[in-house]
Formats: sequence, structure tokens, C-alpha cells
Amino acid sequence: MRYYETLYIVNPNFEDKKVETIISEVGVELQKTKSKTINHHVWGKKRLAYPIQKQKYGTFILMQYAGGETGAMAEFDTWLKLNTSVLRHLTTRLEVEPPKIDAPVFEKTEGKATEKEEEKPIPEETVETEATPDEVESSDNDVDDVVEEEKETSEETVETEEVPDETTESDDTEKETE
Amino acid sequence: MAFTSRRKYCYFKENNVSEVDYKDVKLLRRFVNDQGKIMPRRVTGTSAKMHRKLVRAIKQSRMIGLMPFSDTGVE
Repeated sequence: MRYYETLYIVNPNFEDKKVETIISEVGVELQKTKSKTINHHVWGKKRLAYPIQKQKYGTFILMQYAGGETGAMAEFDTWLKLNTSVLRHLTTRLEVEPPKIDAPVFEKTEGKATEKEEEKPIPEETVETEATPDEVESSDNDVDDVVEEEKETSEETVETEEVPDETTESDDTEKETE
Repeated sequence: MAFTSRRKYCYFKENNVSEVDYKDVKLLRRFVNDQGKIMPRRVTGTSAKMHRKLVRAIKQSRMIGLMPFSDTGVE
């Protein structure tokens, strides 16, 4: 028996009910492959590293299961691809059986999943790549982040308007990496 | 002179990590530079075996949108 994990992103603007229906739809579709679902829950709303279908954020849903029929799995993959409410998905094979997590489908489990390798000495050569602030903190403020993001964008537009007034040599090439 | 050599070691071997999870962005971030490029083994000291797994994880992470393909600071 092989174990797989599928992580997919749905539109962050969907309300909880809509996300729930999507989750059940995906679950039903997965049942067609005769797979056994182990975990299927919302991993959290996260900022995307780059916009996908013009979305800056995404609701990540994690699904772990014991694989069924191989041919049917390919169909399931295609189905996810064609599903318009799923922005993107990624299926990977797991080497070991994933532990069953008793998290309810909707509780924000994000952060916890990434905490595993916490607090281990950083190789000194790599320290320079800035210590990223604890993700745990950011997980709670997702809603605030969205609000801030909107503010930022509005500010940006203001800035761009002001640019001509300032000196033309305002080279902002190496600014902010995050 | 400035020839104090520091011993390089594999992060994963030190910590007995045998698999790299593409969802663990916090960890993966240590192995890319500010631009989001994967750093070479000669810099990070990662063992060849784990570097292959690491590269795979970073690339998967990019595909699902958790890590940037390139992060030049310009939006």
C-alpha cells in the first residue's frame, strides 16, 4: 500500500461553507479511486510566494490517503486540474504512513504542521539568509494581514503617483525581500 | 590572517532528519538565498544525498506556491 499526500489551494475569498462543500466534493471524487482517506483538513490560509490566478493568498487544504487504483488516481489528478475552484494542487508520495490527526476539518491547524523541526541549530553559513519570524505568530493574524495588504496596496498607488515629484535617481532596486 | 576555517556540516545529518518536507518553508528558507535561488552544497555543507532531497522539496514547494521561483524584491 502506498501513501500519498495531496495539497491543494482554493480561493481564499470563499466562505467556510463553500470551502466545506469543496472539501466534500474532493473527498467524494477521491473515493472513486478506492483510496482510504487518513487526513483531510484545512491547513490554513497563507500568503502565496507569487500570485496564482491573480490571488495573493490561498486556503491550503491537506489530504493524506492510502492510494487506490493507479489508473483512477490519474483521473483524480485530471479532475483536480479541471476543477476551477482549485487553484493548484500537488500530489506527493509519502514514504511512511502518516499519523492520523484528530483535527476537525476546519480548525486552523496551520503552524503546527511546520513546527516539527523547530529550534535546531542553524548552520552558520546560512544564518545570513535572515531568520524568518515564527510562523506561528503570523498564523493567527491572517485576517489582519489581508487588511494590511489592502492598506499597503493603496499606499503603493499613492507612492507611485508621487514618484515623479521626487528625484529620478530613487533606485529602489534592492528593496525588501519579503 | 582571515584563514579561520569553520567546519562545515550537513544540517540534516546533525539533526538526524532523513526526509525533507516541502511544506516546511521555514526550514527550506535556510537553503535559498535572498533571491530564492537554491544555495550550492559547497556553501551549505549539506551531504549529497540530502541535497538531492532538499532540492526536490524546494522545487515542489515552489510549484504549490509556498516558495518563490524568484524573489527579486520587485513586485
